Amino acid sequence: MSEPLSTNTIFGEGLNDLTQLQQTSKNPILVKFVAPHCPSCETLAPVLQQLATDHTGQFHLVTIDMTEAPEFAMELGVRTAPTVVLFKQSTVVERIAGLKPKRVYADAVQKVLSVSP
Amino acid sequence: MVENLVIIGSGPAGYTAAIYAGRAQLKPIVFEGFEAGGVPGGQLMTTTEVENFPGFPEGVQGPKLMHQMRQQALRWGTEFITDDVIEVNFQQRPFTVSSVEQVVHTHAVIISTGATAKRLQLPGEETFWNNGISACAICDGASPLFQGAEVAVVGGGDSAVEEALYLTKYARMVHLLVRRDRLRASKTMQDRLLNHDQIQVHWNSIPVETYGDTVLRGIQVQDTLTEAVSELPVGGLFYAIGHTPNTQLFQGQLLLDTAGYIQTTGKSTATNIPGVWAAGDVQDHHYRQAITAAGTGCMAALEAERWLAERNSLAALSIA
Repeated sequence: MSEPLSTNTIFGEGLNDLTQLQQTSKNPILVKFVAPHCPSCETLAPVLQQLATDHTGQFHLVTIDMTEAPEFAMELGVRTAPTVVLFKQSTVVERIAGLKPKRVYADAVQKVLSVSP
Repeated sequence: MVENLVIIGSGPAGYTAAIYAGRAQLKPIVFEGFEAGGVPGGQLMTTTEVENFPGFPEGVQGPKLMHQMRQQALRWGTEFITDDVIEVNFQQRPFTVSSVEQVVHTHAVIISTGATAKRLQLPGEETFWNNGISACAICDGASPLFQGAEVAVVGGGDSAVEEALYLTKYARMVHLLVRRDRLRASKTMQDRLLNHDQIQVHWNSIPVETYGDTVLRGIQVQDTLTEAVSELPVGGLFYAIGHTPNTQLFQGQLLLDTAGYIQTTGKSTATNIPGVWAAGDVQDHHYRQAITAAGTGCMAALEAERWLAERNSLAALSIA
């Protein structure tokens, strides 16, 4: 990790990136918890990537492998992969467990962006 | 704009049909699905090592095999749409296939929607679904919920045995609940399982109830011979009891058998509607192997190609 993460960063990876972004940015953060051998996680990836690119500068997308941050995953009630957790600063505003239709993710992002900071 | 051929579903059947249809220059469109009937790529996406698909003496990872088939289909001119089909109309020509995001009109359709893992519908299952109960050990085994815990797998076939073996990487102890007094799994798989000290096999056993609080804490297991019920404290319960064919979309339009599988005619992959063929697990409850799915995918594409060619020459004759 060469450059410090900031509001301009779209994509992050791992718990460290998440913590950094929570400190340096006021934008909402969408965390995607994944696991090894999780085909649904791969199916979801382009959908979230598209959402993040469509809303450049408005939210961050951080991917965390739950086997690398098990305590954090447990704390957040993450039981299955993929689980998407939407953060506004350190507050969890939404949790989507399992792979859901594409609309569900688009709607969740719309909702968190429309609420005033 | 009317397409030549739409393939509904992916997996070895859909991808093989696409390869053959692509090489026949039919420019097939494949709706590979998103989440409704399982992941794109089908059941092999949630398998780790595939050791019985011919051509791979060292075995091959399920997702890798699917990825390669997909790449091959792309090479031969397939267009993939990563979306779920939600409606079809075979009552008029051309046929209509609608996904969440678009509608396509087509002369011919190959159905390869496969099957979805069965659930037992036990009391408490809804509460603990994705919270201890799952139908995919390969997907969910890595959840922090199961690290060092005791878990149970229900089933007696190759999938159940594979999942039990896989879970020993994460769980402390795996209890395999087998309905009868023997496994259906292949001898090779059975040997691996029965020699594993992290796996305990419970014969003549079925789960009858689940319990817990915020997460699953255990299951009630019944002995099928004595009917005695006992408690088994486990943090995870994984179903590996087979699949139901994904044919809800076609009810009322295609002939289905009593178990919901699409009926095909003799050795052909043809359904009761000319111009519609079915390949893979959606029309097969007997073999259900990747190689037989690929085989029927090929057959369906060849049949579709011939049918379309005959129609085209008929159309050309009637204009002349």
